[in-house]
Amino acid sequence: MEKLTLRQFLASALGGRAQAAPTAPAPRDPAPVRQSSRPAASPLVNRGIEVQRRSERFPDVWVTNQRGERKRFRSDLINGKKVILGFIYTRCEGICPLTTHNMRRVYEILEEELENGLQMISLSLDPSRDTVHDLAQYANDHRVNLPGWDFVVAGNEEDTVALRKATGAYEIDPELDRNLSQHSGLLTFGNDRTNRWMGLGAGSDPEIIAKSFIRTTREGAIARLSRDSGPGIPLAARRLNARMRAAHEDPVCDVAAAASGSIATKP
Amino acid sequence: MNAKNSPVADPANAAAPSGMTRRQAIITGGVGSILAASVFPNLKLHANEWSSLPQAPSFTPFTQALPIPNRLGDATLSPEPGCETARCGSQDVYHGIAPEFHPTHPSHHPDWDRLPTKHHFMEVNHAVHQFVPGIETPCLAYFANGTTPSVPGPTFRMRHGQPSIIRMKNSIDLETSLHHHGAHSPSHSDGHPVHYTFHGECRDYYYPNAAPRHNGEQDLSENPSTMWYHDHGNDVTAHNVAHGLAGFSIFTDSIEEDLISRKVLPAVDDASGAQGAYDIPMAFHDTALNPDGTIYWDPLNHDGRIGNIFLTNGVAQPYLNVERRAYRFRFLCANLARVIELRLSTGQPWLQISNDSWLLPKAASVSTIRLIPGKRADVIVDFSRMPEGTVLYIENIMDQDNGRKPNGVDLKKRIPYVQLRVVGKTVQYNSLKIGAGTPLRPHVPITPDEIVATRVFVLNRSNGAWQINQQFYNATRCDAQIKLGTAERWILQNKSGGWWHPLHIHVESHQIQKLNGKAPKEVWAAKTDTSPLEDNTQIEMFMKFRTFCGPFVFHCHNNNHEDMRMMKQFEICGPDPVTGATKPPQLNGRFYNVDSEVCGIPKPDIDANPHLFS
Repeated sequence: MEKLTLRQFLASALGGRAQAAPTAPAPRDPAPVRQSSRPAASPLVNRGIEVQRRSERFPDVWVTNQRGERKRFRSDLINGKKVILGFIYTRCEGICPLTTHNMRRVYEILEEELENGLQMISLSLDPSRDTVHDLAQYANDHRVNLPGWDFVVAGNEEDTVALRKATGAYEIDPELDRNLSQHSGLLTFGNDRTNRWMGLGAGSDPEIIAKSFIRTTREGAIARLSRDSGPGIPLAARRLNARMRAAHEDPVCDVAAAASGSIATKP
Repeated sequence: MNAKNSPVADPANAAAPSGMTRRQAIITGGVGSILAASVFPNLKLHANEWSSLPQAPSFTPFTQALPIPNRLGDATLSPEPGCETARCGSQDVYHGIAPEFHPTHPSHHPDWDRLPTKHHFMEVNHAVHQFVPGIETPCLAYFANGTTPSVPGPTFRMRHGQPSIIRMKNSIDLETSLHHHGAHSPSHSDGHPVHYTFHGECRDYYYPNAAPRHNGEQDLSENPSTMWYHDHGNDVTAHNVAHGLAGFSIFTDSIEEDLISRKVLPAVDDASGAQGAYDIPMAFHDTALNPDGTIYWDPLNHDGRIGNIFLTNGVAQPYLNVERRAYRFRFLCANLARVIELRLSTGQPWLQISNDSWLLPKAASVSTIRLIPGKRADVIVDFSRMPEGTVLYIENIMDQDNGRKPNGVDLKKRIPYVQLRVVGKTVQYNSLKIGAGTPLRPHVPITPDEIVATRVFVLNRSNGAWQINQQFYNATRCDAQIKLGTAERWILQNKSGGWWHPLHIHVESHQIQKLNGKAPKEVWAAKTDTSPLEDNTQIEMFMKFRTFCGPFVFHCHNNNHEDMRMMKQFEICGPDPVTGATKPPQLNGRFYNVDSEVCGIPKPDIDANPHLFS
């Protein structure tokens, strides 16, 4: 069977549009389960209905960034891009600074990805108080007023809630859902071109986040990528790899043993 | 919304399902409407129901026979596993085979090879399957060598004393890693999340099918019965399992064969070697379908995927004809997040004979069986006293509408999973010689004087995600280093604010000592591999780490939580294969180098891109 592209597979598996696929030899056994020649399903299955891309459920509302530029959230910031989306509010005294710090380290590792359309977004959860000036101040304070990174605020509370809920930042419990600090610890990232999205805790190790990002937003066959040592490997990946190896050899690279389960001696 | 489209039929009125409950009405409203909104602009958008599901398609339940997955057949593998051209980094088997495969390895005891090693081949690829009659759904499936693929995948059939090798090829563009849930197998073959294969790559999974040793001899009390396998790829476990990558694994040994020969249990195999007629595996899995028949999947729902179509062995609400005799049913909760509580619609109790992988010391009569995702339970059901034509149901009486936790047992919201139709006039009285209290598999308890360390792991919720001991999983960090051959006490506390977490520990069984300070109920008192950590629950367990060195994980088996890195890694360390010296536990809590040989992850000089493995 001819190999399907990542895009074709993900388009079907992750609920994307039907894609034309290469033809394959007819299956030998007409059993209820058979090898698929077109993962995007037959017309019988689709009944003429196209399923949305995941990003089409992101509201295309107006947002304003730290430079005062008005943008459509989905059309201008998501469509056709690789995206890392974090959630902050400038008056946050909890996890937001860590979220921003980790996003900055991810940005540094993935700098080359910016040329391939990487879009960093920090969405304000507090539209009633966060102004463009606040966002600019926040970005400057954290030294992250950088190209390809938009600190954005929506026009009102309703749009903000719709944005965060559509992008995975919500709580089942309505009481908790109203508490902004519950949402600022999540990172949502993906590649709109392949329609593959995922989330991770923003407090994860930034290098782990970067690795997951490189792997899950990749395009094309990874088998070739993982074996060739030539230009097929993104520079960011090679650089990250060198850093990881260096970390292994660093004798002071330690994590508090207490965090790994308090060990008591034999009772 | 159209109530008559509900697939959930009242058992008394199967032909005209109208018993849609309020909850079902709610869960079928939300995203279906959102999805449909662009296609059908006249449908109302329910903006507050983001985590809801598309409406379930209309179908008549109990029209499809319960499918029994085929056995995974033997295969000739070329090149031979373990040979020079099938080593780690090779063209044909890029990930090689576990070092324990080689008889020269210090862990490889001569008694592992009493019977010749069996070889098998499986490929992960795209398939089309009818989960609901008449609707063709694209999915993922395990393709056995030369046979028809199925969802669930082909059943592994393994025997103590006979090693098995499964060469698995990945033919999809997502990461895959084959986890043999409940098995005692090498780190390389354990399906560790970062030991995944990419498209076109093969990995030889080596299962010695040997029991861990107790006083120098293999401890048969540790031999499993009903295991399962499923995908465990990093970041994509939930996606892959929800799309069909799971199957049964059935294991036997001399103890179980003796029980079968004494007619305590029915035969596992029929005369042709296929699944026995009175030994029925049933994998329960809930799913949801988009209007176009594709599987509904939201990668940004992190709470845990709940479905509104209830599959048994890959088919929505099937029926099973049963003769008037006793059967063994092997129940597997292969849901991502839904907790089920099973009962017979007649109220007849179950005779439970196993918990997770292991037969119980004694069969026990229980009225219902609660299975949290990942758990298994085998039961004996006797139909010999039921008249021909009796129709009864295996029902789930646990109500749940989100990934956080169930709402509780609610008989009004019970859902029939399988219809059982008693057929045949002949009554086969005394078909099995088993009842409550019948001894099955002996249990060797771990004693307090064997314990060398106590570890506390606290499950917590942190700003929209879940952690263990305030940390997310990091594949380059060793969270607990354990000395080979020792036993430890682990205390697991769920303090995550009302969430339920099924906690699965790889490689070894664990023995629950206390549940919330009290002795666990009888069926949980022996061996477990997936502990039900309900809200505000504390479980104290003993665990012994034997046979295999290397990294293993334990994690929440709500696969969405697992992908959000609610997972920890422990490394079992033993004598150095060359020097014989035991490594000191100096890596505890530190970042560590992944051992290429143990993990099958190619070294940097072979693979310029090993950064992808984490």
